[in-house]
This record gives sequence, C-alpha cells and structure tokens, in this order.
Amino acid sequence: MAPILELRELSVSYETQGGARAVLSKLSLDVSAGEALGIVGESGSGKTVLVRSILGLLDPPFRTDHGTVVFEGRDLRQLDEQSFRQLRGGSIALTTPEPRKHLNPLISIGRQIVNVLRAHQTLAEQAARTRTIELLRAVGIPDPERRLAAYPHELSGGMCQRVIIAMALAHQTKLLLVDEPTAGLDVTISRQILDLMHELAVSHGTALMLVSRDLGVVAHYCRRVAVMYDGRIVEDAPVEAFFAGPAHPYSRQLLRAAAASRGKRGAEKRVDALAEPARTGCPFRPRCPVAVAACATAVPALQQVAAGRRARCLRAEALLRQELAA
Amino acid sequence: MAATLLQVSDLTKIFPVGGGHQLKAVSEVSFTIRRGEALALVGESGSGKTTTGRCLLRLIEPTAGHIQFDGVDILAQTQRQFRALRPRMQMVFQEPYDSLSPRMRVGRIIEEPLRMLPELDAAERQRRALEVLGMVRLGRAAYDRYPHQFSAGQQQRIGIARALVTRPDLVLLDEPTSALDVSVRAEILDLLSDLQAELGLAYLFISHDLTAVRRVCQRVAIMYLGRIVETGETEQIFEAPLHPYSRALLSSVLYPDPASRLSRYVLTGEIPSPIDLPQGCHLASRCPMVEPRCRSAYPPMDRFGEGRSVACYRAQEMRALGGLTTH
Repeated sequence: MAPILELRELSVSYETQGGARAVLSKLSLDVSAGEALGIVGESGSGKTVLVRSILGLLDPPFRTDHGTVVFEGRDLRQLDEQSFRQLRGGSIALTTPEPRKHLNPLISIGRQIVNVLRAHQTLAEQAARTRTIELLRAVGIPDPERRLAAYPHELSGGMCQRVIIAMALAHQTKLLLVDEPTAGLDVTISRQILDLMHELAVSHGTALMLVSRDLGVVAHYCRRVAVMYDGRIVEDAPVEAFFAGPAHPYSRQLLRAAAASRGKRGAEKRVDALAEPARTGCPFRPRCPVAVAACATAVPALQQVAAGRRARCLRAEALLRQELAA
Repeated sequence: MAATLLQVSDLTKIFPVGGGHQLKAVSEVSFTIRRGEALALVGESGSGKTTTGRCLLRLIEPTAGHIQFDGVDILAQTQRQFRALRPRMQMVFQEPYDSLSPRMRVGRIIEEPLRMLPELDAAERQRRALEVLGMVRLGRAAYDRYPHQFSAGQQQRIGIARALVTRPDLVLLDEPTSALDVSVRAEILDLLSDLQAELGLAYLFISHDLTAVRRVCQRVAIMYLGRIVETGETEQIFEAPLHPYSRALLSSVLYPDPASRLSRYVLTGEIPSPIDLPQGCHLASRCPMVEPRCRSAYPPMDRFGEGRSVACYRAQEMRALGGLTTH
C-alpha cells in the first residue's frame, strides 16, 4: 500500500545565540493508511517537534530548513496557510495531553461536531445532530443527547479526548497524530481511549502516529516502532521483532529501563546515562556500552539490518546476532 | 522493636464544598506499614491517595481516625510535639525542581531539615549532607551547586537526599517518578529499592504508575473514591485481584511486552463525582458484579488469607475468575 504520509530528509533547527542547532536531522519516515506507528524517545529527542512540523505548527525560533512532508501526494510545505488550515483538524488531526486546548471553549461540543459534519458534506441541521449523537455514543460518551449542549470546560480530560476522536470520525480523518496518549489520563480511561483509536484505524483505515514515552502503549497498540535519539531515527522495526531484540543499543537501554522488574546488575558496562549527545560521530557514543573507535568518525547511516528493520548503528548486526544467540 | 511502624485506623477527611455539600476525600481508611516495608497506595485521580499521605504528615488535619507512628498517637499530639517526631517521617515530592529552592545551594537545601535539630552543629550538618549525597550517588561536588545545574533525575536525587538526611524511619513518596523519562525513572526506582534495603526504610509509595509500584513495593493498597478496596502482597494482587475495581485497574496495565496478554476486565462509564457519594459501594454504578445489597450498604473488609483483605460482597466469586495472565 502506498504511504499516506512520506517524510523525506526533514530538517528542523532552532536559533540560539551560539548559532543554529539541529532538532531534526534529515528525518525520513513513511506511514501507511490504517497503520499504527509508535514514536519513542526521551524528552528532547525531537518527537514533539516532528509532530508539529508535520502540521506546519512550528513557531520561531524553530525553523524547517529542508525536506518534504508529502501527505496524500501533496507537499504540505508548499501549501498556503488557508489550505493548511482546512487540512488541520480535518484530514489530519492532532491530540495532546491537553485535549481541551484543541476544542473551541466558546462553542458547545455538539455544535462543534455538527459544524464539522456540515462543512464536509451536505447535511441538514437535524440529520447532522442525529449523526453527532451517534458519534458521541460510538466513542462511549454516556447520555449523548444531553452532552450535546456541554462546553469543553464541563468535561473531563478523558471526555475531551473522546470528543476529539468523535470529530476525527466525523471528518473521516486519514491521519491522527497523538502526542502522549496516556499522559494525564487514568489507567482505565486511557485504555478505553486507546481502544477507540485502534478501532478508528481498523474500521476507517485511519493512520495513527502515537508519540509516547510509554513502551507499554507501543507494545500493545502499534505495529511498527521508530526510536528517536537526538533528532534522528535510530531504529525502525516491527513491534514484535523490536521487543524480542532491539538492534540499537539505545533501544536496548529503553527496553531494560521500562521492564516491570529490575534487570540484572553489572551485566553491562556502566555508562553515563546523562551524557549529552556527541557533536561528532555517532551522537549516542557517550552513552553507548558497545561503542568502538569507528563510531567517532561519522554518524552511522540508517541501514536495513533485517527484513523491514532499519538501525543506525555500526554494531547493529552484531547486536542482533548476540540477541538471537542469547 | 515492634514490627509495626505505622498504623492508620479509620482515617477520614471531609472537605466542605459549599451549598451544604461534602467531599469525602478519604473514608475510614485503615492500613499498617511494618518497619522496612514498602507499601504502595494506588488509585486513579480522586481516589484519595494523596490526601491520605498528607494527613499522615499532618500537612492537612484529618476529620477523624487514628494514626499511630511507632506507638505514638500523632493526632493527639500538639503541633509542637509532632515537630519533634517529623524528622523520622519525611517526604519526596512529584516535581523535583519545584520542590527545591532555586536560590539555595544544594548543600543548604539538604541541611535545611537538620536545622530543626538543635543538637547538630554546622560541621555535623555538613558531614550528614555529604553522607546522603553519597548515598544517592551524587557525590561531594553537588554540595556547592544550584538545583538548576542538575538534570531532572539528579534533582530528584537531591530531593531524596534531603528526605534521608534526618535518618527517617518512614519516607512518603508522592509520585516520585511521574515527571521523569523512562531511563531516568528506572534509575530512581532502583535507587529507592537499594536505599530501602541498605537503610531498612519503610516507604509509603503513592502512585498511579502501576509498573513502578510492582517494581518497588512489597505490599499494595488499592483505593477507589476515598476507600481502600483491596490490600495485600503486591504479587498476589497483581496476579489475581479479587475486587472488581482492582481487577479492572490491574488488567489495564500495559506491560512493555507485546507477548504479555492480560484478560481484560472492563468497567463502563467514568468515575463518578466524589461529592455526596451514595451510601452503598462506590463502584456500584460501574461494576459488572453489582447486586441490590451493594447499593444499600458499603461492603466490609473481609480477610482472604494472610495479610489480604477485600471490600466486596462477591470477592469469593471473583476468585473463580482466576489470574489475569492468559497463556
């Protein structure tokens, strides 16, 4: 299937007193219709900037320097603001840990969804209301007839997330970008929301991009995972294979850290987990327990290491073999 | 030395919310913590776990109940008497940076709680501060620096050092890792486990991060709308919870392993408002096991084996559902 979103060599930087600093470095990534892609990485790895740059929502000092963002065959970077605005909240929607921010505080949620429906198709007011009630019921909002008149501030965070998913259903959103789907939500509620997003992908072919620090979310709701470190993708793999044995030392550290029980001590060389990314050679080098001299010469390329798997590490194949042997 | 360090009985905290309404944030909560034991208090927002923690340190005054710390009834004490006990009960906060004064050097921040102990002179305070900096693996160099010069994980270590400097028996940890990245979170959790073993500390670990709780705590108490619904050994409860709410909560945990399969137990609807709760079981409106008596009277805490209690009329039937892990 042709990808619905293609990022090619996307580079974003921000201006500092000491000159421009790269936030995303030539990042290339595809997302297909109906696919659920997880993006993981720590704070500062560029995950949120990636999501915002897809939507053209970067404000200074951030600047997109280079690359293309092709959505359904159109390069979004060439769109004027007017056309971009039609796309946002329409074919492409975003939700963040503060879902209320994405709803208009002055308009009832029923009216907001009715407006969406009527903007995209010829539908009489009454029919749009009926459809809105169906949508609210579909996303598990109790008593939808009464909730039509509710304003965003009257709803909990979980309810606002549901309203955004209902709007995505109304729009027939093709790509839903979710920044931290579980942050700020209680466990039982966040599972309900994730289930709804999953249904959206399965039944409507919506592509999901779930940006999360929570590897549990990725393990259970994504088919593919891309790991980001210092503005680059360092590994891109099918979820099953990734959790069975990651091909990048950074991925391996993330998995170990997320484990529900503590791992064996001293199995690996102690490294400084807080070291800044290196500015020459492989950025992960200062934190890497398996680095060799060659890692200091250049940033490794993102190379195919197995079927459907890419990794940006000189030692990826050795890592994979060790994992397989262990 | 008594094995029980903290005994909380029938702790209740009611907040008036205007218009004659009441918010019963904590209702008749009872639990014990033994010396050297880590107990987790878990639950979703509005469950009352943070209010319970704050009552223990008398940061807020409970409406009713008893709190015995090492045999002393702390609610019967004057604030002055209680202050003498406070060095033995310390707290680590959720937001590391916000809980450290930005204008004080780290050494001064850590020594601050020692200023309540007049028997310690400046040299002894410094010696103790350097000692705890070593315990949290930060080293002497941190002593003269400011909080903003440290990463979030290191700041949380400073917060832990400040809690340990008075050599407490009990440390209250309020969501100590929820502001941290995955790898830093793991380091802090491991540090907390190491310190617990090295120093024989007891923890009350307040969290909604259930994988963190499973990693650190020996026992767990699960709260829902102000009440403890189930308590017991961590592994027993995580493997086979007996209260419908515990089962729903623990079967929702997403472990970082695509092969882990839990049999989901699903509640419908949202958590109701904690204002003017009905007299029956607080879960009645969402519970798949609900029957008429659940709506008329709150179920008592029944014992199920060693150290395990469940507040549900149908816990025996819940047992028939077996473990959460499916193979």
